[in-house]
Amino acid sequence: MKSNNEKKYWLDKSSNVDKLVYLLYTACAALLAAEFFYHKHGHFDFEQWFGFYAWFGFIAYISIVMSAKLLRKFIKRKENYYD
Amino acid sequence: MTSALLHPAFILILGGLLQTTLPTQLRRIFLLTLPVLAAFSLLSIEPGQYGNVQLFNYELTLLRLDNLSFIFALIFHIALFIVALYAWQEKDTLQLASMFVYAGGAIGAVLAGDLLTLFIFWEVTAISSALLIWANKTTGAIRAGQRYFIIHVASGLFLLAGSILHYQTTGSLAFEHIGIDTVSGWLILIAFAIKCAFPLLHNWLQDSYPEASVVGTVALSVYTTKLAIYALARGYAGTEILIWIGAIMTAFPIFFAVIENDLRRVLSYSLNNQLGFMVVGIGIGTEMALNGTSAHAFAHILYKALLFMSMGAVLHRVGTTKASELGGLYKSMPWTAGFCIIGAMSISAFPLLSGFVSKAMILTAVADEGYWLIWLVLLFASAGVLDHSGIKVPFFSFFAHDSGKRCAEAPLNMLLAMGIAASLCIVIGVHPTLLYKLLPYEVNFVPYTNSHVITQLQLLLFSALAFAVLYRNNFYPAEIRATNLDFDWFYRKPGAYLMRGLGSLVAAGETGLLSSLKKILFLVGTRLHRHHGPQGILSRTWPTGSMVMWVAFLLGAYLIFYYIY
Repeated sequence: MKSNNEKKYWLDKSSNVDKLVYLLYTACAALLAAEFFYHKHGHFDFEQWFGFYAWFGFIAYISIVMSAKLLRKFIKRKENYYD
Repeated sequence: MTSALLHPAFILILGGLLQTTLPTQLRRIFLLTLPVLAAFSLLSIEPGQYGNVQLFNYELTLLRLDNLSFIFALIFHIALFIVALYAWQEKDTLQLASMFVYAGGAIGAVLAGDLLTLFIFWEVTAISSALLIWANKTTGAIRAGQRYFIIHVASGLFLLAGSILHYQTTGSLAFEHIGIDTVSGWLILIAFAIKCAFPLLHNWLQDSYPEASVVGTVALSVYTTKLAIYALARGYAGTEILIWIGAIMTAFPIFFAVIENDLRRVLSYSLNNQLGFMVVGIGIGTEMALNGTSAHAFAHILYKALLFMSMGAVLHRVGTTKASELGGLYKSMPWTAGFCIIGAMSISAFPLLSGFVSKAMILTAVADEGYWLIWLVLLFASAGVLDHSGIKVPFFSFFAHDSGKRCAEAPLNMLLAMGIAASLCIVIGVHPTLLYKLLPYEVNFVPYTNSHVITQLQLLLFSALAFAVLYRNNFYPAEIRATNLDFDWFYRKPGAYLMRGLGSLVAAGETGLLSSLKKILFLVGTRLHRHHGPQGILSRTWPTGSMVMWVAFLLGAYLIFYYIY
């Protein structure tokens, strides 16, 4: 179990976690900016829309998580339901 | 091949049984050597058909080696070596025997040249894998194992029935392209579909895998379903319905994975979703698609085993894999956490890791054939993979809120096994040509282009961004201890009630029948007693008296019949 005088880890500090999140924001911004600098070769027309993969991923992720949350309302039972 | 003993499957099955007699240290080394020996045997065989046996009127081919069976057989050997190392400290020799017979059976099935040989090895894997689940000995494992066993025996029966019918219509048992134009084709497809966990036939997977032991689950994650993928690729390549089934398979398990608390069950849903990608590839059926499916199966076995190994290590050290009980474990198990992250990034298809170079082939093959809707579903599912396997599994076990649980790092053998799997994920990601050389068809595909790397990173990092936004604003569903209903509810609740109801009806009927029978017997008995007993009319004289009466009765009956006819 945890002891009181154990080593402090870098991630224990919430400001460091924030740093990681800001790093993610920066990476995302850089990836969107990259849209101007490469030739996108895809199969479908909609792939050429600006930042298609970026917003598709973002929206897909949010809709998956939120609809799963909704699904929980219908299918969640007690842990020992089948026992 | 001069002797059946050189068949890799027989080496593994016999060796697996033999090890039960060995002392501990010798057994450990022996088990690690077996997959290497079997792999050498596999590599020494020239492509072709061997072990042609005439059984009654049937032509059997015990071993058929070509490009498609080779890649599956090879990865099955590599995975067995990793699993054997992971199981180094396992004391239960019966469990180890089941594991080796199971792996041997799967390899035998992949190498089978005809449907009857396939059926035999198919059943070997069913029985041995059920034993592997039962080996965990908990009530949950025993019950889930029973359900698993019934379902897999059913799969075998469909295969047998389909094969017999197939023989009657085509006159051959050779396991080649089958297709769905015949009844036998459908029967065999159902057999494969059950083993491949098609939608609505899938629940045996999520039900049983999380119930098996630390070691057992890793072995299970490798063989059964990928054997089914191989069988589908062999018999049903280019069957269009598989494209749609596969797309559904990639999408629907995601939602269950997001809200599931047991991380080994999350990985089982995730496994199901990965199979969907491979099934889509089989449905497309072009050389590029089948290459993609084979490559994805190869890469998937490694990263999925890696993820199951990391969760197994957590289970081994902490005693649970429930996300609600975990968190902050990177402090105690930094190596396991690192390996888990490599597995998670591989399955999410980050560039420089194995999933990137294999999944891309399937997506490109789908786009080449113009299936834009399927392609969008696969892209959607890829964002889902990032959630449940890429983020959820490592995040809630090793990071998130600190559970305060402190434990030792995973044992050295487990770390080595995870290390090998993780290294292979990286090697394949960095040098995809190593994998591409093993594929069934020639590869005309370049995974690392600016366009592909940037678009994939956009998809993944913006999905991760969505996670960060949801999690930091408390929108992400909390990890809670719960059971989530899935299709197995139908046979575990109403189905079980129905069977119990039928059972009690039969029991009630039986009691009713028995009591009426008793009454009748009693009545007959009392009548007999009245006439034949000590005071009875018919026992007053010698039995000859009653004999004469019966003869008279028979003659009378004869006379009546004589008149009628």
